[in-house]
Amino acid sequence: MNSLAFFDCLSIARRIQSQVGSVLSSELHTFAYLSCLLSLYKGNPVSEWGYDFIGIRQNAPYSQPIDDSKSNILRLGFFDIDKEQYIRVSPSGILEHDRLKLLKIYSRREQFIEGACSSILALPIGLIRNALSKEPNLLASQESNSVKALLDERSPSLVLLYDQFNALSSAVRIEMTNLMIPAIVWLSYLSKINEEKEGGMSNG
Amino acid sequence: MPNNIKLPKILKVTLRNFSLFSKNPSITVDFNEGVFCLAGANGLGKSTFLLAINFGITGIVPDERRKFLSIERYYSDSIQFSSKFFSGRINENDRASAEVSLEMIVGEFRYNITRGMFEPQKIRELEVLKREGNKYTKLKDFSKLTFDQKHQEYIRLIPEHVGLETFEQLVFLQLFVLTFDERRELLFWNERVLERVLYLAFGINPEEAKHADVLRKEFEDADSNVRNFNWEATQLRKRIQEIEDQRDTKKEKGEKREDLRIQYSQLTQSREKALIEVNGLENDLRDINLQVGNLSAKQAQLRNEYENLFSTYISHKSIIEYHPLIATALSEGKCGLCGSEGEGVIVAVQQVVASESCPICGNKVAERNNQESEQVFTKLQEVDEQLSKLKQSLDSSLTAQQRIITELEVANNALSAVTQHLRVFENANKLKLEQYQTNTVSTELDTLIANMVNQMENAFAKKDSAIKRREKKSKELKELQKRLQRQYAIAEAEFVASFNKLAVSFLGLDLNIKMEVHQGIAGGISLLLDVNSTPRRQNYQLSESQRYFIDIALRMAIAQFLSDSSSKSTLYIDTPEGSLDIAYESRAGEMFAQFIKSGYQIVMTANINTSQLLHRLAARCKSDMKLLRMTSWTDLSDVQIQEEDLFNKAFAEIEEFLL
Repeated sequence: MNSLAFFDCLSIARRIQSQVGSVLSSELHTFAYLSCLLSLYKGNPVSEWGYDFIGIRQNAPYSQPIDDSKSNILRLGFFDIDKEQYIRVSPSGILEHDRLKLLKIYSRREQFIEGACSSILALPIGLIRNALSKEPNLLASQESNSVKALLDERSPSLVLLYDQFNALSSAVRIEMTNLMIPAIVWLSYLSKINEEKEGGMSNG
Repeated sequence: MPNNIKLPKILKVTLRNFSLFSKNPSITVDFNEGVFCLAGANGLGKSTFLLAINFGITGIVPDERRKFLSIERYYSDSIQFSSKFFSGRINENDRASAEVSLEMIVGEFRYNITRGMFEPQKIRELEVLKREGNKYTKLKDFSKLTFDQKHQEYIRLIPEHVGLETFEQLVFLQLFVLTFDERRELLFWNERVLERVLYLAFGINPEEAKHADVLRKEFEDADSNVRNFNWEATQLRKRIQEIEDQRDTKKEKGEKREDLRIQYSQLTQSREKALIEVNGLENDLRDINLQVGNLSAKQAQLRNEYENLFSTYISHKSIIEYHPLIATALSEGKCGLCGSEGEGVIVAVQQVVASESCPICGNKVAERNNQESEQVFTKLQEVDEQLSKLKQSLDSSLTAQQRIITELEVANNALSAVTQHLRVFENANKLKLEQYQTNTVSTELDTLIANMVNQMENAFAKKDSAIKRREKKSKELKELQKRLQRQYAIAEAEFVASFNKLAVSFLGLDLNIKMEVHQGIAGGISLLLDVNSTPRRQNYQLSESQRYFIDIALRMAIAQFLSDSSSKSTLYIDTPEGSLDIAYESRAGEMFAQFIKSGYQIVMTANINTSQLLHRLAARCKSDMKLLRMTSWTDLSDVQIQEEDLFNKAFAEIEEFLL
């Protein structure tokens, strides 16, 4: 079990839930990945995030530790899941999340998860998912038509990502502890690229 | 002093073993009163005959290449030349025996001397007789003396008998005034010589003339020293300036090289500094990498420990009703362990869950889990704290690592840049850097300049000293000049009249001479010649031949003025005709005749030709002229032999005038 993924699942689910009432399993992966990217945006190394992602179908990020943690959380009764597979954090889950937040190993991650999950205040989840699918690493994963570890430090896609982050940092200019704004700006940028691409394709 | 000099009057000359006169190497010539003319063809030795007579009297043969500096210097400087002059004219076998003997009258004394032709400062035979009444008696017996001693006696006695202060004065008068020879040294136009002549002729006494000669020489030496030291100092100053310029240029170059050296040093130091920086950062990086490695390992270890604890923590969170076996039994009514089905299974399982006991072992699950969970969480907190601190350390180390990496990159770039710069600089300035000796060169030049400045100052000091000496001599000379001017003023009427009479007879124009005192520090006295009241200072204002005879007139006038009436001097004139036209030749003959008629003697040489000079002279002097034909003394050239009739005819013509 990956304790970091365990905490992230609780934290993401709780935040999404507070905005939209429940969370889907795939959204745990999406916002975990977005949180990880915001950690990179803040200059932390990939390795520090604590678990990996891979690109799967439809350019969605997937993390095995997230999936395992979701199962464990469900088993422990911290998540409730209904027949439509919508997940909610149980009262015991909320208590456990609050307790785990006391540990510094998790509290450091809160800002990234907060930044990622806050984006749904400004952007629809569907748009967020679609925009993220145009993230260079996910895009590269799709183009290679093979399951591939995301955010490999040797990958040129990571260089592209950092270029985008540098541009983003220059565009945002101000140093922010709340990473929501850069997340929204970046996602909007990716979304715009996506729209232009799709527009181009449909026009063509 | 005027009119009391008793210059030698020649009576007889004997040449022995004088090889030049091959047909008659030992000859004796008796001189008559009046004019003696040795007539001969070109190249027979007429001039040498006159030189031999003067050598006999003075021991000196004039060296036409020697510049006259002073009466004393002229004598001493001419001895060496005189001792060798007859070498080409006398056979080697005759060197020892070749000699000249003279009989001459000096006032009341008669001198018989014999001198070897190569012995300017020896007298082989010396006899000095003093006239007492009608007979001569030996003044002293010199026969036992050595040649040198005889010479010393001779040079002591003769100036005294002549009435001069020194033997050198006699030599000077004999060679520069009484002799007009091949040198064609003209008194009028040689101020240095003429001034000495004037002092001897018109000065108070020969001693003063000697003093004037010495003073003039000292003045000229001092003047020369002034100019020499000034030149030396000026040259030194110029050279110093050149060396200073050179030094400054070298210094400048040196400074440039110094600049280069400084640049080189700075570059080298920069490179060393950059290298040290890189080495230091590389060491720092190795250290921080090691530190990061250790911290990372610890972090990984702690993370692993944390994960294990977290798993334990979570495992203690197990809730029996969420266990898959229990959950399946409750939701589907089927026991996952034994396979029983039905409502009874659900009820039984609900009871077990409600009892919070394990359905298999029966232990109280919730109570135990809560206790253990708290314990594990406490451990989790401890590890979390350790991880947090470790992360801080690791973050710090990673930040430091990143900083060092960045700094190392910058330092490596700087090192590469300075290394490249240094290589380019070394290649561009290799030679200049090798030639770097600025300090040494400058020091050497400074020392040289210091020495030269010292020399220059010495030269200027010597120049100043010479100026003072020159001024002192000038002052003394000017005192003498004033006395000479007074003496000349007294004698002027007589002297000028004598000159005029002679010169007018030649030139046919009114002539006048007057003493001229030169202004300035050098001073000096000369005679200015007026022709028809027009001053003629420069010698080009008369033709060359005219100048010769005007100068001969001057010599005659001086000789007349100098000579004691009882001992009239002899003038020696070597082939004077020159290129005068027949009118002036005749006039020259007339002038010579006048001189003879006034009681003086001329010993002259002449070419045998139809010269009007000899004709007029012979016609005027008659028995006072003796013509000696020297064609029989030596071998004639083929041309001369073939045309000997012409000589005979010309000679006969002259002799006719003598009758």
